[in-house]
Amino acid sequence: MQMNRSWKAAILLLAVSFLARPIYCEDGAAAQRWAIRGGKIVTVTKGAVEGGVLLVSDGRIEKIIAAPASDWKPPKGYQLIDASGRWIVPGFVELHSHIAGGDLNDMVYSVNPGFRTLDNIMPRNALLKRALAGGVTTALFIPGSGTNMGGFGTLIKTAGKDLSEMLIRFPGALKIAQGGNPERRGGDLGYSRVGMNWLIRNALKEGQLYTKAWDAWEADKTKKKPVKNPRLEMFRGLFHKEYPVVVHTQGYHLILSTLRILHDEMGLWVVIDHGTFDGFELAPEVAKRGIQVMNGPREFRWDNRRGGFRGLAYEWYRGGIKTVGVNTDAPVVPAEELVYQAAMAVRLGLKEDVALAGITIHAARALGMEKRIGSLEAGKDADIVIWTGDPLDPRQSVVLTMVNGKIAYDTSKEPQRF
Amino acid sequence: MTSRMRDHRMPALLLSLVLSAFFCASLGAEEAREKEKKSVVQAVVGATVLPVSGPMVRRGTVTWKDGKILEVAAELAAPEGARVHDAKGLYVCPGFVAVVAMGVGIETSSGNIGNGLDPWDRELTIALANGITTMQVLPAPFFGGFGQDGPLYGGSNSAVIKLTKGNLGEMLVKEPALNYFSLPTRQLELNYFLLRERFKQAKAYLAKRAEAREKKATPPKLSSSLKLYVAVLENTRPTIFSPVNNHEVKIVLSLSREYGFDAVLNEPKDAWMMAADLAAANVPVLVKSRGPDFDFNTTGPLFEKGQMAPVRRPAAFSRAGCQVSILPYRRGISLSGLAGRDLATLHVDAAFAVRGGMSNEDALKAITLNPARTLRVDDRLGSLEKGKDADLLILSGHPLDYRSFVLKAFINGKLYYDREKSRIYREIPLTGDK
Repeated sequence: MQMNRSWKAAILLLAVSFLARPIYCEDGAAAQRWAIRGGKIVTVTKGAVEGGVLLVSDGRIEKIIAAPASDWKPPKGYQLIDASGRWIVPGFVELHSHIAGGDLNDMVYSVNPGFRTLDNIMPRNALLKRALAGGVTTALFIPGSGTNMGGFGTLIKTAGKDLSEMLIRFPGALKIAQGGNPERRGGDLGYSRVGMNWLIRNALKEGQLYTKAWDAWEADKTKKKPVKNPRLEMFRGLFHKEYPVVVHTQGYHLILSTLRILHDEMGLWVVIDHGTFDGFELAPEVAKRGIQVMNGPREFRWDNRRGGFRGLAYEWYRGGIKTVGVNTDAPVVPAEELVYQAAMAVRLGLKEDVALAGITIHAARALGMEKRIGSLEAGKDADIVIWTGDPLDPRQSVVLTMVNGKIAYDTSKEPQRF
Repeated sequence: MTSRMRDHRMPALLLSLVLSAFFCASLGAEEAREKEKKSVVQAVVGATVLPVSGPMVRRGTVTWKDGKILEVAAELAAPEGARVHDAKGLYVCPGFVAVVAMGVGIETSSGNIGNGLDPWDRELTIALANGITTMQVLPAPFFGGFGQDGPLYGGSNSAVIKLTKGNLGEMLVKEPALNYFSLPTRQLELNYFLLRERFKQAKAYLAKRAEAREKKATPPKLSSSLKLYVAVLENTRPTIFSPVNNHEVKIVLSLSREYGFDAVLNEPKDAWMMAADLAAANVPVLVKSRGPDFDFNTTGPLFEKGQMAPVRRPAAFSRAGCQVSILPYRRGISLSGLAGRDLATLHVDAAFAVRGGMSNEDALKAITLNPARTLRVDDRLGSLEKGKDADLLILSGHPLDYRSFVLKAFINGKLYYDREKSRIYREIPLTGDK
């Protein structure tokens, strides 16, 4: 009797161990190599490949086999992911996100160049999990617009077991809010545009002088070593254009001052990160300066004069911003709806391929990350999303999201989140 | 001085007489023209027709006359003398029906809603341009503010309207459309205890009234505070509840069973868990397919209630056999600039239900025939069938395609929206034109 039971237990154990054989491991220890067989591989930069195979190894895209033989089998050590009938699309890149952690605004001072979001990040939080279900794999987690200079944001992947695995770059970008929300502080200096512009200009000037002083020291052009100032330290990278300033700026009036102060005067790498209302009227001026526009979260303007809708991304495009993208300002629009913002831009006039490029390769380029993310090309990060069909169609959903070659969301293992 | 004034008045009076005569004459002519138009047969030909009540008809024809549908069939030639709308390569489906809408087509929310309709309302035009031909409206705000009876927020000030732009005469379909209760979540038990007490009183009143009628005596006086509850029990229109949890859903179900009235559940959060019970009790549901919005809670659970994503909920109800109507993200038209989150994209909210597992057919039904049934106007609206109102759309693509635009919208057989002549989407190219 006892013997019998132990045999049963042994068989059960064997069966369980077979069932539980890891197809992939959460910590990425086991399978790191994937062969994703399509489907339609939408590379974004090099067209679409029907029925191809995408090989992933060590967190990167190894290569795309455009026309595999009919008896093609995955090489040894590669796990096959069958994506026939599906669309394989690069992960989306969000340039305006507030959902990686809480506490976005500290509103004692109007300008806060020492603030940073890096320390607030909560990996694997529920809002990030929903973002993964919408195919978003990269997010620029920036401070809020409660003050004129909210601090420095962090560029992260939306999945990863801890911060070190998620982190792409810190500082990701500086956040400046030129008007609108900062006025909520009310009462003291910076209540009006004159005050706000002075605050921004003054802080940047201070940073510029600080940067120049250190540059001179490092180039041996001066004998006087500058004093380290932690509050100004991150300005050095900003003025060396190692990272951009993403600007809460919208409407003709405000964007005009963005161009004058931040670009022309300070020579910064500028990304317009709202650009809404009638801001698109300045598109030729913005285009001339090579500034990227990530329009959102508002995607239309009701034009009282003409009595109709204007599609904002479409108007930027028409005005000369051929790389226009969209944002969600998550959670103003939920993070998982980034591609829905792009779909609405399409409904309101933008071409589909332009809309898709705007939240992939062009968004990546706006961050200086086009060599690592934003398209499906050999050597790039394996941030790959398998969709039931065209991601712009709200009827289609994500089947599987892979970040850095690891599966972060898989509807064959868990219920559909979005 | 006075005589001179009189002298001045005479020509003015004459002029006004002449002018009013002219206007009367022109109005008469307008009416005559309208009548003439009405009796002409109109036909849409060559379209992919989605009648909702039946299968898709390719190369289909829909004909109508005097505001009523004559025929829906494939490859049918338009009758002699008919006004023909060529819809080759286009789609035709019934106009969308929106439930619990707010702030559209209404000028004022004080008094009976039917007296405050505004056929020139801008939001009405926008809703119409996006395919909504019928709407059940409530005065804003729906929640709270209607304290007619202590903590029991409720009323019946609601109407079913058609979005006949510029034509007040044909706007009102039904008033009141339904009864509604929105009970504060605090003291839920107490509120439902009070509600049950009212229903008991209403039941007693109805018994007394029946008795009086039998004896042909004067019916007993109905106090104004009891009117609503009597109306619920008479069940001449459905009663909407907005339960915040399943406990409340259960109470509503038992009340509806006990007092024999038709309940409708508005956004019953996690009631997908008891969808089979709702289907068995024939209780329709009104649900959103997305959300939540503005969620800053990074320490919270994946979803607000239960563990089912909102996008899957309409399909869950539908699979269990419930009558599902899709709610838009916002109940009105918003011009704030956030796209795809209001009544202007009701069809996209239906598309999100497809994402969560509903079929295209069921999702289209959830913004046409199902809401019409819920509002008990399905004898006239919600599908393309012989004898029903000719409320239909000609669309540039499938009605659930996010890129599709309404090209023409007919209500009661008359053209109320023409994309080419409207300014609303003049700046936006159709997909094919990009």
